[in-house]
Amino acid sequence: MSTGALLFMLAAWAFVLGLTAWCFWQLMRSPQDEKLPPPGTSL
Amino acid sequence: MTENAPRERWGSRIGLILAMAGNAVGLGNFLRFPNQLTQNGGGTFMIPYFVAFILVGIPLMWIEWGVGRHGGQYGEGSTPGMFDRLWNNPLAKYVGVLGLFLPIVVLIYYCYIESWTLAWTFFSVTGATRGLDQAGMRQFLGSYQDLANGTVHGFWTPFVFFFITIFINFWVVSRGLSAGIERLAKIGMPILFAFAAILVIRVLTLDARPEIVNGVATGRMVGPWQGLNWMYSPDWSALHKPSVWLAAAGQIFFTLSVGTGSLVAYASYLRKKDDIVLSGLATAATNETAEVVLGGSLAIPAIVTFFGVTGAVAIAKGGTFDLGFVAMPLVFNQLPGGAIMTMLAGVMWFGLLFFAGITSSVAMATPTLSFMEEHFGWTRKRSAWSIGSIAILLGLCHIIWYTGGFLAEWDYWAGTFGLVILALIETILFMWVFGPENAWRELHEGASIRIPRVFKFIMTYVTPAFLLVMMGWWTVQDAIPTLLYKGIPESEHATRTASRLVMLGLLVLQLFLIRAAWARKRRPGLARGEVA
Repeated sequence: MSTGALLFMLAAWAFVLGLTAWCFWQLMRSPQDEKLPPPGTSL
Repeated sequence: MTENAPRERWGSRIGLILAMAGNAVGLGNFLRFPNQLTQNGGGTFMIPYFVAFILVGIPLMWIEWGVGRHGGQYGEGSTPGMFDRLWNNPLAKYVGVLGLFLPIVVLIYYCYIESWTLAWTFFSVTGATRGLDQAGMRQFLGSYQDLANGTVHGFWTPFVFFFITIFINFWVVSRGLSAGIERLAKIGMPILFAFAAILVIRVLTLDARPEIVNGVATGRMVGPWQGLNWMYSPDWSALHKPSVWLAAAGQIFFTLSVGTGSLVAYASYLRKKDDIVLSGLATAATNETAEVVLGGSLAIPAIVTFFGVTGAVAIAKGGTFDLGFVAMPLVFNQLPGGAIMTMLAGVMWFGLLFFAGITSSVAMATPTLSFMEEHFGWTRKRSAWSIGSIAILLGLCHIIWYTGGFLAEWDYWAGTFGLVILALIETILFMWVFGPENAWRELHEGASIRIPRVFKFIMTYVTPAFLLVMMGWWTVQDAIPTLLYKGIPESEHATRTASRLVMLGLLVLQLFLIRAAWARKRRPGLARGEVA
């Protein structure tokens, strides 16, 4: 695999995996992570 | 039943994100993306791709979540009502017809394609494609698609798998948001990711083989890494081509399922203080992982290993269906491990495509279901099975006239061109008519993170400008020639005209339903939402 191709692939993977990991890390530490009230509950 | 009964809500935040991501992750992640990458500059395609993700994809994701949650606060789960709440104009509800029309049209033909994946999962188990060569595999697919070609399949085969697919879809949606759609996402998405991850590991650990071109050995060895090399080798000249930038924007647009009316419908089941900024971003990021890391590492590397780069080029030019339903089964036939490995790989590949498909198609059923429940007081079960019956009826047209271009017309006008129009309308209504300040405030209600301020500018000016350019380009390049049947065989003109008329009939029927729904609201003595 050429260096250019490898760099592009790794950069693309790093971007999407990094963004996904950051989002789920934020979700886990945010207070809304607890279970929401059961469905059917009014506003 | 009255429509004033409390609206259903998502059972959990992770269920919501999985359902939203399931809506976005579809067949395009695994079949369309690798094709686009190889045909638009390889590694350099990722530059316009990520630029479009930031300037169009993420902003549209937030806009759709914002429009949907805002409408949901007024008990509106579809765009006619949502637009009516954003824009105080009698026309608003009629403009919103697109959010009913596009998802139901796409749902119907998408279920037919989805039924192929179910059929091929079954064929993988029975070993029907085992031992076939390339010509045999093409004939196997061709006989399934063309009812007049009974060389392999019985006349009834596509109908059976289509009916089963429709039944599963509408059984899921009839069970409701939490017990149906959310449960499907919680089961289907982990299976999809597990199947994809197993297949990626298997593909990337394949041994290199001697490359053979037209029956002659080239003396070179090819393996999955040569496939990745071919996909990601940068072609810097591609960055100067507007077509590459538009292809990248188009891919981002389709992969995130924006402009289909389904994201807004899902978001309408959120509470006012539920976060949409982080959840929307997490949905987009999950879809990108499925596309770039998993989708990009499956089909092309596997095909290059067994057919070489030259063979892969020819297959890629044959289109996404050739890639998924002809080339991949051929690859599985040659995997080390014999019949068991061929069967397992086939079940996992077509199984993951089926789950990718069904988690998207149930989302497309949601806007119409919500509309019938909220505006006509129908129960969810009644709405689901009524719409399911219409889907079966119109789906039959696709099965019978597939080779005449019936499906191609729906796919172009609703599944491609229409989506950009709806996304543009949503952006203008939310960011311009509702106003950037109101939109910004709406997005940040209950938000777990803050959106960088530059996105306010991007969402107000850059995203609609990008969409306008896309729409203008596609109008000149494709829409006008398609409308005038340029390059389409004359034998298909009658079927394609009939296809357009059926779509038009559906649009008129939905406009009539909107008119009737608003007339019901105005009836004296009948409070909004009550059933006569």
